[in-house]
Amino acid sequence: MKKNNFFEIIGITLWMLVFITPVAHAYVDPGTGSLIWQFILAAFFGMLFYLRKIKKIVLSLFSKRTDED
Amino acid sequence: MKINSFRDPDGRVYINDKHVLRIVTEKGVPFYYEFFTSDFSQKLIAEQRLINTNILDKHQADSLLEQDEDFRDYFNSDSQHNKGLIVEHEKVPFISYPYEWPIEMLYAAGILTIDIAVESDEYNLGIKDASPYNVLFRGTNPIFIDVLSFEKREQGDYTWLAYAQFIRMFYLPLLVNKYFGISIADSLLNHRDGLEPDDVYQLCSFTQKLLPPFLTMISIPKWLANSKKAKNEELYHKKMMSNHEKTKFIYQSLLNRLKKSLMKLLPENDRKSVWSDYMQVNNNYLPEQISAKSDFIKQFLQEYNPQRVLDIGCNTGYFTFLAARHGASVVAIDYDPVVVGRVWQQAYEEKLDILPLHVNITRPTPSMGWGNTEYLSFIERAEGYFDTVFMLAVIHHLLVSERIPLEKIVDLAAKLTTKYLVVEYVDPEDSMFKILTRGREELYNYLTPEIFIEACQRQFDIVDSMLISGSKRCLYILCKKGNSNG
Repeated sequence: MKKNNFFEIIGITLWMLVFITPVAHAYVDPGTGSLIWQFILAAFFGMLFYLRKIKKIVLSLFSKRTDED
Repeated sequence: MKINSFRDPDGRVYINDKHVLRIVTEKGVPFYYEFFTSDFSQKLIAEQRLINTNILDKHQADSLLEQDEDFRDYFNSDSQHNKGLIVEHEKVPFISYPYEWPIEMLYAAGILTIDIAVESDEYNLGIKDASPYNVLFRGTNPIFIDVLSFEKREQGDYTWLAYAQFIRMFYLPLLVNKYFGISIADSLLNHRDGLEPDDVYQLCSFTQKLLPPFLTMISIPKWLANSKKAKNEELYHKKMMSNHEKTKFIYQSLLNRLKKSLMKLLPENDRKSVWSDYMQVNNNYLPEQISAKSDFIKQFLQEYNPQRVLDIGCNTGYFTFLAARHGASVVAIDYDPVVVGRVWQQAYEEKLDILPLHVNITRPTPSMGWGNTEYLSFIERAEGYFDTVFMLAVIHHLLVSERIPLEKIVDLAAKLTTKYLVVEYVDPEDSMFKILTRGREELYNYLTPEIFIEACQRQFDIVDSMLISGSKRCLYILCKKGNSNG
């Protein structure tokens, strides 16, 4: 069950990253496979962003407790 | 010499003997005017990482258009460009192209490009393309020349559209060099936009395809390119996020990861090739003969003070460095990219004005691109530029291995130098000459010092000469006819 949830989150994040919109006006060939790979990496870094936030919050809670001690 | 560049919709470049001019389209004027006068561009210029750029005011632009008929025609030839801004760039002394660089130079250009992309983000700017053609070398230092590459990044945009181009043009050519020994010239001369993951996939073994760095840089992109998603047009729509802090984090992480991947391809210091140890162990000279040859060259440098030297067949650059340390600006060419890379590394460390290029003088870089006019051939760029040409220990390779007639060698030398030719005559009795002939001695029976001199004297006067004692080699300083010797 937990495993399914995890893949669901990844799936939704990828979907949000890949299909939200206006058209680009660059003249450089953005590639295909490398572009999709960039989105996958971006999804990974997107999750890392939240993990870092959570880590910061947890660490700050601990440091507060130690201050109070 | 005339070059123009036209792929970027925001502007065009026009280069002639006097000027390097860029026309910015009317649409791009507000952004680029702000960029050219910004602290960021001024900082990059001061650090000598971005080409010095001067915006021409209306008076300057009008007077230039009035004086230069050819530029006026070019300016007026396109309705999109004839209302824009004209800027003038500082001229980089000698233009070189990525397919003439050893891996060390492509690597340095790649690091410069990605560093500029990362730093631009601090100013909410980005670079819209990641091509090594955006970089030239002033001596050994890479300098970013494509000022129109800068663009404003939209808030919420977390992708870098030039990501795949960076991989095609910097990462993959360096990767295939490291793992398959394919030179940069082989990768980039025939691929204008670099290597596709598909091109490299075919070279990989089964296990390589499943292991890093090939798995993430080649195999997965190749498999994804064949997936259904790749056929969906929405793939190319711009992706935006509302959380700007997250956008910045993702974008910076993508660029930093790419830089780290590139840094894993940092060229090794002691790469070897057939010619890389020539000056240390594998040459035909006794120590006192090298010393006599050096003294002769040093004396030439002191007496005639050449400003621009072309060293043909530079090997590890022994004489290139002598000339550069004397104050000359040297372009050093060799057909072995490994020795060219070594020259770059040493010259970079010693901060000498040397531009080492992987050019084979018997098959020099051709003119390339649309109509053969986008990128000039080596000979077109070199003709009339150098006041001195060195051809040291190279004549026998041209005569024997490449079967170039002596007269043609002298003619090309006369085309490349405006004044001096420092040339080493190698007699058919020389041991290296004999190794090269491989049983074809009778083809070179005609060659004597007298015949050599006679061929040279059609184009040059002899200024000085020295027989390298105990050898079958002789050094000549020649001055092109019509020049005074001083």
